[in-house]
Amino acid sequence: MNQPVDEPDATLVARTLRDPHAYGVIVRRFEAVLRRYVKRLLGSHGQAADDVVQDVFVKAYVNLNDYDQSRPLGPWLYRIAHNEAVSYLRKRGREPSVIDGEDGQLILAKLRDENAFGAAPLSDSGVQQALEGLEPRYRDVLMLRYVEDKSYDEISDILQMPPGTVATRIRRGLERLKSALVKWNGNGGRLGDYERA
Amino acid sequence: MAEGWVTMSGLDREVLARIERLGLKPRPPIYFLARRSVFWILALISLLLGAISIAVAIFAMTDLALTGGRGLDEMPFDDIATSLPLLWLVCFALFTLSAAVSVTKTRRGYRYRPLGIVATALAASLGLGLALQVFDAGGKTHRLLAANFASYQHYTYIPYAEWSRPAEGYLGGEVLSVNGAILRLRDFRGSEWSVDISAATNSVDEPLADEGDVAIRGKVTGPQEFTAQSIAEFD
Repeated sequence: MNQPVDEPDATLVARTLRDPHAYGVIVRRFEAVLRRYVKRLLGSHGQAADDVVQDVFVKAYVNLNDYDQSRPLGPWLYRIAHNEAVSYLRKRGREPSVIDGEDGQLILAKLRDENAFGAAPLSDSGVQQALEGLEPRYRDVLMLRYVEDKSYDEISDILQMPPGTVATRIRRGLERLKSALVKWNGNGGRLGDYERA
Repeated sequence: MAEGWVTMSGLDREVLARIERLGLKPRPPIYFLARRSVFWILALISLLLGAISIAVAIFAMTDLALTGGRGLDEMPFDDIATSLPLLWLVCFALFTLSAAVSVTKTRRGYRYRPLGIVATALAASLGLGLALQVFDAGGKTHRLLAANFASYQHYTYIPYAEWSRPAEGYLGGEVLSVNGAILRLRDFRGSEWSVDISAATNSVDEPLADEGDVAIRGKVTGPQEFTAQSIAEFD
């Protein structure tokens, strides 16, 4: 079945509500980014990402009338994906994953582009170690901002928190990250116990 | 394939097949509307109850001022503390909190700062409470509850204890006689007092000897002797 790829999200959702087959376009539009996001959250359980993403799309379909058509569809699907991944891990007594080496490099590149840490020397292994030491609430927002490239507004929709809180957490997360990196550099490439806590 | 069009592939096929196999359909809009409405209704009810709590609290404070204490503008702190209807203030706080939590559970409530929501709910309840009290909503609620609930009646009944603290300036009781500037009074614990009323402001309409119970503010000047600063009806 052929369908237009540039159709706005809201129109596509309205069409899906009339014709379920149109839902295939939504699935195709978001499957890659959601799979990557879920895989990242699942960490060592990454092999379950396909099943979780399938559950996400089925759940989204059932709750399609709950989608606020004045907002972008992506963050709404991310939110469902986030909840499904966290729920999957909780059932297995696990926490969402820490960031892997590839993500560390990605974040490092963004931080360099933004000159977020000024002249502080940065290394991808240092960034990764420092990120692992961050509390999940800071790591979540930093990951969405610097790995998933989400705006503050989108992160607010995904994590269901005020945009002001998102901004605060990103700022504090970067501060902690910077402080951990400075110690990392001054400690010969090792983090102290505090940064790992 | 025309530009701007794509064909079906793996996951979309699987998802659509699963939806079809399980016979799933999007839940109707009314389901979500009802779910969201629950929180809005809860928020509105909480705001209204918070407003009524404030109206009753205002009534209780002004009522005390009118029936025994001093005016609100000249109350010392201990008077204000005595007049604060704790039950209603606790109700007000709880209902405000409930309204705030309910708003955060609405579709876009998470976008607002919790502190901002609490402050707005607080201001809304307070404003509505003041508006309601213009129509004596607090007094009406108070009388309705007092007439129908014994426990409430017990809680809000005439403040004998508050007016049985002569050492702190609160003396209440039955007028036995008035002889010139000396009033004989039996307090609520049965002790008799000689009260100097020569310098007291008297807000009792009836002659004091006929009034029955009165509430006197002043100070102890000797054993069973009291000098009055103000005299009011006690009810």
